[in-house]
Amino acid sequence: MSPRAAALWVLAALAITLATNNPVYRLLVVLAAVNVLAAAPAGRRRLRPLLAFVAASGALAVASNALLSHSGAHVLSRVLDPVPGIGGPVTLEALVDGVVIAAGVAASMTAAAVLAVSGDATDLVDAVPQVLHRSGAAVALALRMAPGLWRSFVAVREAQQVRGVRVRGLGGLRHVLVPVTLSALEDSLATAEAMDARGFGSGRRRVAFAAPWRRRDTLFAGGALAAAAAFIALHVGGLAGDWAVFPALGTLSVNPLAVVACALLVLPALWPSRAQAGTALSSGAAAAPA
Amino acid sequence: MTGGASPVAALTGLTYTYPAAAAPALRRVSFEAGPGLTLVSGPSGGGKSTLLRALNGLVPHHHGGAVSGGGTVAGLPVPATATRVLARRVGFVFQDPEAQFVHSVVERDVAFALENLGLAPRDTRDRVEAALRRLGIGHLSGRRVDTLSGGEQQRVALAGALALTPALVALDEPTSQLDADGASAVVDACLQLAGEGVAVVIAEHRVERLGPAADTNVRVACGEVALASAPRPAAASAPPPPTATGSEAWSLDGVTFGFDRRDEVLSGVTACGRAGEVVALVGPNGAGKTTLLRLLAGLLRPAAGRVWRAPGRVAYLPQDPTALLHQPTVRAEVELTLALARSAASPDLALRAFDLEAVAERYPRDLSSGQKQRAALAAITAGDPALALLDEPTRGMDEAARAGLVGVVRELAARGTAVVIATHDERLVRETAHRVTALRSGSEATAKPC
Repeated sequence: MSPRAAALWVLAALAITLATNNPVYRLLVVLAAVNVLAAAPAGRRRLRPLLAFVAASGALAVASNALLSHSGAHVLSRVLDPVPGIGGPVTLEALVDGVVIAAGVAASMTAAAVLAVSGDATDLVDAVPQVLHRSGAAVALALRMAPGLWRSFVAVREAQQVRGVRVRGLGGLRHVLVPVTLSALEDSLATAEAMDARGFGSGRRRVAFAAPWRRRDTLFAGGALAAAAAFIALHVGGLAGDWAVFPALGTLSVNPLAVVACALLVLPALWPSRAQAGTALSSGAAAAPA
Repeated sequence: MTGGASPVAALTGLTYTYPAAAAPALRRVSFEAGPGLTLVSGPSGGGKSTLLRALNGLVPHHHGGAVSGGGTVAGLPVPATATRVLARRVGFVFQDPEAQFVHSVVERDVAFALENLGLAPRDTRDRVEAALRRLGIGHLSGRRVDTLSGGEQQRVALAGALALTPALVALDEPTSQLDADGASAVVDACLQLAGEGVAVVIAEHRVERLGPAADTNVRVACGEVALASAPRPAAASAPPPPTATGSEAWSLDGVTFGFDRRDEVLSGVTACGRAGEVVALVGPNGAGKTTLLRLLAGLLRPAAGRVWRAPGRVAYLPQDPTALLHQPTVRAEVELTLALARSAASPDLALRAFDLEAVAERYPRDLSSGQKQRAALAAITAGDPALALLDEPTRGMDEAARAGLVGVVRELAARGTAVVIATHDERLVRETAHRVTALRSGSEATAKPC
């Protein structure tokens, strides 16, 4: 999938995710994104750490929502009132609402990862309209930080461990997290400096080695946009409705047409690209995007 | 400061202070660079990188800060002209080859600056091809940059600068992260360009070949720039004094290691070292030097064989010194190590050994790359480690810091520390090593028995 097709695919997946709070549809987006990632060699390599990160983020969302939101009819437990912030009832509805939020976080993260593996992070700059180039560059730099973070984490943990710093537990973690975060920021600043020194932002970019747009890209992007349009139409028409969680859990309804719309997102996984990103670019035959 | 030809860059009375800095990084600098080679030398943290960044507007437009004075570069006024405009006429190559790449494929990265200028795609492709061919790396055009050696990466970065057909190319310590072969290839490319009449301004510590070949030599120290004679080659290296070696301090017996089952980094390696002995690990990139140090540090477990080391504290300098630095001051870094080692030694000893007293109260990550390396070395060697593992310790160091390192390594050995140094620096090997262990890709080649 070309980066521009991937950008459109992600846009469609996010539109479905944000249009509804129904966890079934959101989980269908997660399933589609995981399948698309698994079909790409670069995606397969990143799938495990990504899913671990998504699971941790989801667990955090569920736990914090259950402890901080005290609304809901069914009280499961009660944290002592004097405990600041979290004191009060823990309800079934707040817990379920946490699951709904976690599903949204998972769908957004896995969908964004599809763009990250579709080519260079900086392809994003050329995948968005000219007016969004600065924002695209900021997102590209953020995506670029992700793989470097793990390498940096290992290097810092090892260096501090040998030095004798206790790197386990919350106290020791700061000896690792502080330099890792600083290194990641410094790397991104260095890249930003290099982009500045190479004239980024000096005028209208004309791409000479753009990844070619193939018929399959039209199919994938078109399918995803059609899926988003159909889903939003069903949602507006009241056929693919939200799930009422508060004050008491409502009935969770699922519309078969909305499920089919979500299923369209899985198209790129059914026809995976044989070439990895970056290897099919040397022909240089593609014209610059308008 | 140039002789003969009209200058491509001319600065007059330029003073620049970084945001929140107490003192200027450049003080009333007057500087000229014409066609040919201008070599900028001087101690780490003296202002070399800042001077180069003033030539393409990164200082002050990217970094901010206060500036006075100015001049012209390639006919454009500085500091009034923004970096993105100067980028059309000034190419820039950074210290770290990996940090400056924007795309993962060579030809796409070389094209990046041309694409930013809005050139017609066909012209861009022609210029990319010409720039790669000019530096003799046309065969790398379709390769991913992360599969290239450091020397190849820096030549790709140079091609990215050259593709713009700039009036001036500035290179900020382009060989500091490279092995001898990679550095030699980059120096060859710079000399070739200067010979062709391009204005090449290069800040470097490795001046053996560049110094005599430079048309102009300037020295930058404490923010002041002065014309200088060609830096003298380093004095002939003296071998390390013999030390009374003690009992065996570490050993590897038939050690095999790979990050996956099909690809062994080390295969059947046997080596050892004694207390008070300095062992140098040499070999090409990818031979397994860093992996061997990590095995000795206990960070990796061998797939086969046995790794053993005598009890006692281990000092480990990783390739990236910033992995260690996270305290508010350099002094605090040294004090942390001493506290962890329960040593009563004064931090001043380590700070003095690496000439860090002047920056002892500064935030270590704000220092120059050479100073960061020295701060990391001071932090890990403070106290009395039983075993010191140093991975490319001379990276980014100037001559004075290098001499300090040699002194510290010798002193550690004299106090009974077993030292293992993984390095490409042949002079460091001659000056410090009692024994050399050569690694070839995938296996250990030669090591005399303990």
